[in-house]
Amino acid sequence: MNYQTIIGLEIHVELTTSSKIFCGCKNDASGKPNENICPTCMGYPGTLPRLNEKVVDYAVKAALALDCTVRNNTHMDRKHYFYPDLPKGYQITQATKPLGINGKLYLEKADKTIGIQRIHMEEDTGKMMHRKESTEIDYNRSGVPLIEIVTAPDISDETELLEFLEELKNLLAFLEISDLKMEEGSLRCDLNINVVDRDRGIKTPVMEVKNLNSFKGAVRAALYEEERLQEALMRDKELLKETRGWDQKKGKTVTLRKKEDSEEYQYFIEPEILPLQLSDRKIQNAYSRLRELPQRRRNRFKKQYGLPDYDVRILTKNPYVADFFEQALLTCYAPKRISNWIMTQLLSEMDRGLEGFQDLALKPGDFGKLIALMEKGKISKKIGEKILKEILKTGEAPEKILKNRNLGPITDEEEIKEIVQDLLERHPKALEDYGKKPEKTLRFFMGKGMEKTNGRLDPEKLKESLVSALSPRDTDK
Amino acid sequence: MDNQGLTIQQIQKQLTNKKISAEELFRETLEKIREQEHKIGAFLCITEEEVLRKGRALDQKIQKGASLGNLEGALYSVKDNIMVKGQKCTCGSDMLKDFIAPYDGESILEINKAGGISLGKTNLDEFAMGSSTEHSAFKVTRNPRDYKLVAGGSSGGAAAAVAAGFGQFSIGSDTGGSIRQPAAFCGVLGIKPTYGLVSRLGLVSFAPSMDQIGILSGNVRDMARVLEEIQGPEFSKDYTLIKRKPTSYYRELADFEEDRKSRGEKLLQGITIGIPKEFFEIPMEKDVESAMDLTMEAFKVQGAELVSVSLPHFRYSLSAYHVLTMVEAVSNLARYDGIAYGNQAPKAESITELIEKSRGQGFGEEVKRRLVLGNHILGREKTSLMKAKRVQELLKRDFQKVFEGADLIFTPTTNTTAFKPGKKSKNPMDMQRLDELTVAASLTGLPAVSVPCQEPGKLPVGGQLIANYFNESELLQGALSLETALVQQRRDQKEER
Repeated sequence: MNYQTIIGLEIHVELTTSSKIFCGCKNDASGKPNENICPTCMGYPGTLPRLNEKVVDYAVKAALALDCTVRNNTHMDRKHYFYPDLPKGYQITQATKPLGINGKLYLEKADKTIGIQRIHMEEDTGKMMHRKESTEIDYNRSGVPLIEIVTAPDISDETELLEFLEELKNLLAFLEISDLKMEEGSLRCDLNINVVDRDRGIKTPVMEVKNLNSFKGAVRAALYEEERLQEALMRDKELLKETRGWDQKKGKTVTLRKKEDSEEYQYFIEPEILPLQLSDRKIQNAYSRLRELPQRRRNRFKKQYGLPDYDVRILTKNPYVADFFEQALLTCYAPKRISNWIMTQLLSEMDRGLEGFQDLALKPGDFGKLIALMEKGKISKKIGEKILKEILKTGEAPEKILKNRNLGPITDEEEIKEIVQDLLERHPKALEDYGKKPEKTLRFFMGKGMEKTNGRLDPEKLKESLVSALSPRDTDK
Repeated sequence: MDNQGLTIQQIQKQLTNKKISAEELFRETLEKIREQEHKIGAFLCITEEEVLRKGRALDQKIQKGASLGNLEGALYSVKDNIMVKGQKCTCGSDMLKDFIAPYDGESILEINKAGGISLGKTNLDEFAMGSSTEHSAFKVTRNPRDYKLVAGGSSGGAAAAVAAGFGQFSIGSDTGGSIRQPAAFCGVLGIKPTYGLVSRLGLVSFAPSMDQIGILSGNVRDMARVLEEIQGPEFSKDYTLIKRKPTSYYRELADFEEDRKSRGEKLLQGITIGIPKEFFEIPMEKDVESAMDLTMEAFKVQGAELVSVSLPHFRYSLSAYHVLTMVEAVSNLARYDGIAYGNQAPKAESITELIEKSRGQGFGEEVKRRLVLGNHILGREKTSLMKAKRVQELLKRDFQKVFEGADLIFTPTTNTTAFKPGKKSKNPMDMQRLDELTVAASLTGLPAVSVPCQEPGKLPVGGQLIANYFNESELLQGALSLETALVQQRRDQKEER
């Protein structure tokens, strides 16, 4: 048996512009119900949409990042259907001329390119909340700007599916156009799946699966449908094209509605919004403003800094982390050490992990200086960790902390001598053992010394001083 | 004292000379409304208290010697498909019979800023679909010139209000003739400005690619004054406007008259008026025909040169208009689902049923007829939609060619005079044909004005002047010349007798 699974995705991404797509309302669907609404996003008679230019900028950014061709001339369309959460009786979207077409996204692990058929702009609908006795509608989300990304049916299995979703999310996070919270619906994904029996040359109809609120859910739903469709092929069971929903609790997909022939949305050009013109120059400008994309950056990090894959993955997951890394390098060129410190010491201090990098009190230059202090042997790793904690709290420069908090290394010969003398007096028993077990005793005193001074003693100097303090006793014998 | 027929300028003079107070003046108008409105039915709501309160405020202002805004002292009315904040905006439909406007339309804001005071909202065909105001869900508006007849439509209430002297002007909307045709039937002036001259924000959409707000008034000077106020400002993000420098229509009109007089020229000296033969091939009522002949004579007397011109694609304009507007209506009336506002069916088993019933009960026959046809075109007759758009383009070209050799175009506004209710409403095609001569300016977006030009003692007839884009000044000059010429003609005829 030779079954092949074919998966395509439709991904809706809520954009984080400050206002909605066609009115001045705050773009915030999470507020108190119907808090952020106005006659325009409520579709009241006599109101007219005004396209938010920021939305176009964001959409162009996404289209360019996904290697799409951005159209010079496009327009908005009306998609007609009746539903209570759709206040105008139509959704303003782009049907015939999407903003971006013919893009692609490369998957490294699968070594495969997934086609992006189109990216277009549209408005979100309101949200229905079903209560026991009634249904309530919150229009805060009505008019929230969206981009819809449609892939080619190029995904063949669940590992590719997961990698694609992660890679796409990674890319969108990098562009900073959405907060990408699947559980809150700012990233939504619908699956189109069918299975082909290559041997017999037959295939199932395409199933559309909705309500996927996590990547894990998407993968599980894909696996479930794959199996269901394979079985149908095996048993020659006739299936109808359907829209299905993923039931997370039951771990299965269920029928939402059967599709008769394609729905009649009576699309036509939105006459209230002027056609959108994007000159080559404008698109070129947008392209040059686009920062280095994660995939390209990853390859460069590997080559330029000789970092292992694991480090590169983590450093490039969030653009701020990658920027931070490279800026720290300008002060102290020690790629692996800086990478290690970001991944271990720095991240363990941050509650929000990588997400918190954007508003970090620590400046990358200071981080570089801190690493440099250790590279030059001026401070120990332990002190370095202490200073790091201080900087994260106060934002002060490492040298300043070193000076003010008595964290600097103890270099004064006399001071070291005093410390050593004090140590010897406090541990007379150990002192007696020195003759019998000199190595062990020396190690013991070394440890005590470092402990007492919080690691501020230079180990070499301490050893030197200890040895000389202990030696006279040898001559006494 | 009878203040009927005074221009806004004359009213302002009376007010500042303290010949009459604003409150007294407004009371006169309200009294007239009380006496006649029950026979006419122009209004759907009248804001009497507010008018008097504002009148008193205006009197105080005059007492203090403050200068007056351009429209101060003028009363006006608003077609009930344009938003006036806090007032009902029914669109003449059961669907919106309790809908309260949450904001003011742009043009209303401008008029109020200039000091105009609103009397209330006027009756219309439901959602502006119709040509006689018989399709209002609430009542039929009668013609003040003859109560047995309709006022025309869809801005029938507006035309009747101005004709009856209920205020100085009225704001209406014109998609295919809805200002010009009732103006013609009621014997007042009605202008549909260039598409994009006046903001559409706050006008309930019927077919937004042709919907345009315009003015009905008793004289050309008032029209110029109001148009100056409601035209879009130079710097605005309002994309229903086409960007341009505002024009001082009122001053330009006065300058024009002054200029001609001082040079001893006739008003239309050097002006070429195109007479499109296709328009005159449409069969006309006798009264309309003789009015047209007289008017063309009057033009010549004023020094204009008349030339015969041709608009070959005119004959497709009515079909194209109906195809385009019905399709747009399907989309623009989709929002009335009874969910967030408007008529909601009391009982329904499902969401689909709720929407179906709410719309079924809320919309009247004419609206339903157009929605069904519009849906049919969208579903099965897409080619006719393409053809209609093609006609629109060809017609634009036809007009541009004519404007190469003519300053203005003159046609009848309608081929009939006002008729009795029920005469045309039984056959939708008869009703549609009433728009035959007005839709061309709508399809092309050209400015057009209807000017009363009937013979004395006869039922009102309108003559339509069409100008090139944004040539409202020339259009108003033409209208003023015609107004002056006809007054002159009548005077001469009286003398002859």
